[in-house]
Amino acid sequence: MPMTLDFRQPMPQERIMDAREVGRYEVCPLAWWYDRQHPLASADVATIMHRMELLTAVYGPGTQDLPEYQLLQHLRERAEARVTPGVAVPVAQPIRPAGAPHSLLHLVIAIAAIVIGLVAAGMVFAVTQGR
Amino acid sequence: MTTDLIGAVLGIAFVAIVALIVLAANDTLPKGTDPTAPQMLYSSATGVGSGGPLVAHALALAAQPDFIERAADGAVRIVTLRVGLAPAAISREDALTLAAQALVVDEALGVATSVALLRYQDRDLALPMTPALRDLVHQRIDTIRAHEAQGPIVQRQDATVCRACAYRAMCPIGKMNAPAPHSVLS
Repeated sequence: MPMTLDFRQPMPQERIMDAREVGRYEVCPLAWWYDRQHPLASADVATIMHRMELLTAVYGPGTQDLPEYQLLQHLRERAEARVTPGVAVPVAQPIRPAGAPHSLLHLVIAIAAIVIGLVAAGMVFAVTQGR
Repeated sequence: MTTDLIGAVLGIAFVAIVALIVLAANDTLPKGTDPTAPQMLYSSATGVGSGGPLVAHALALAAQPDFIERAADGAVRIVTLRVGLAPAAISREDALTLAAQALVVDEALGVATSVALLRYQDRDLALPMTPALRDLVHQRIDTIRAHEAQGPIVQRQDATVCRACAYRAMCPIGKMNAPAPHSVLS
């Protein structure tokens, strides 16, 4: 029975990339690279917050103007986005609630009914006045 | 005087009866059966359609859009919620991100995304998913993959981009374009 050697190697696992990286790379490939390579790139929010506090303790009130502080803010935002990726704060109810078109229809019907009622009341009033 | 009172009472009674009829009609009308209402396919906030990150294994790309819906005409729309008022146009960064999301959605959900919407407080900005845009995203993904190990080579950058970049104090191009005199590193 001929022996066959299997030269197939397991395919190297490609890193699952976030879709946002494509946009980030488009603006600046270096910024995309720093996002991946910065020592705090994968740090959690607590670690980054600790660094921010340290920076504030050393440099005082003007710390927020330091580019280093702004970098930590950027990294913190990214870290927070990792915890809840892609979840934006809804600013409005995005989906029309079930039956919403009917609510509009109901409103129109109700207004029409009230107008008819008022006209009818006016007519009754006019007739009774005319007697 | 008596006739005035009778007329007023009759009028009020008539209005009340009509209002009651309308209220009764409201309860008997079918609710939630509007054929023009979009069908929710996915929502990261409410968990519809898993709600977790979507992965396109062929591209090794992941995305978690805010929600995806199918309109009455069958068009699939990716919707991203944004705070504040809409800018004049969709930025290039957003366009590429949305298009990459569309590629993920297409593979993960087996649909063909028609348009991506950025939903601001005042209006929506729409980005049609054209074949050219999809090709551009494929090219960018290939480029990014090529730079995964060694990093990209960048000779110059727009100064406005550098001024808004958090890495400007540590970046050689950022230092040239947007010097940060108060930097701890400088």
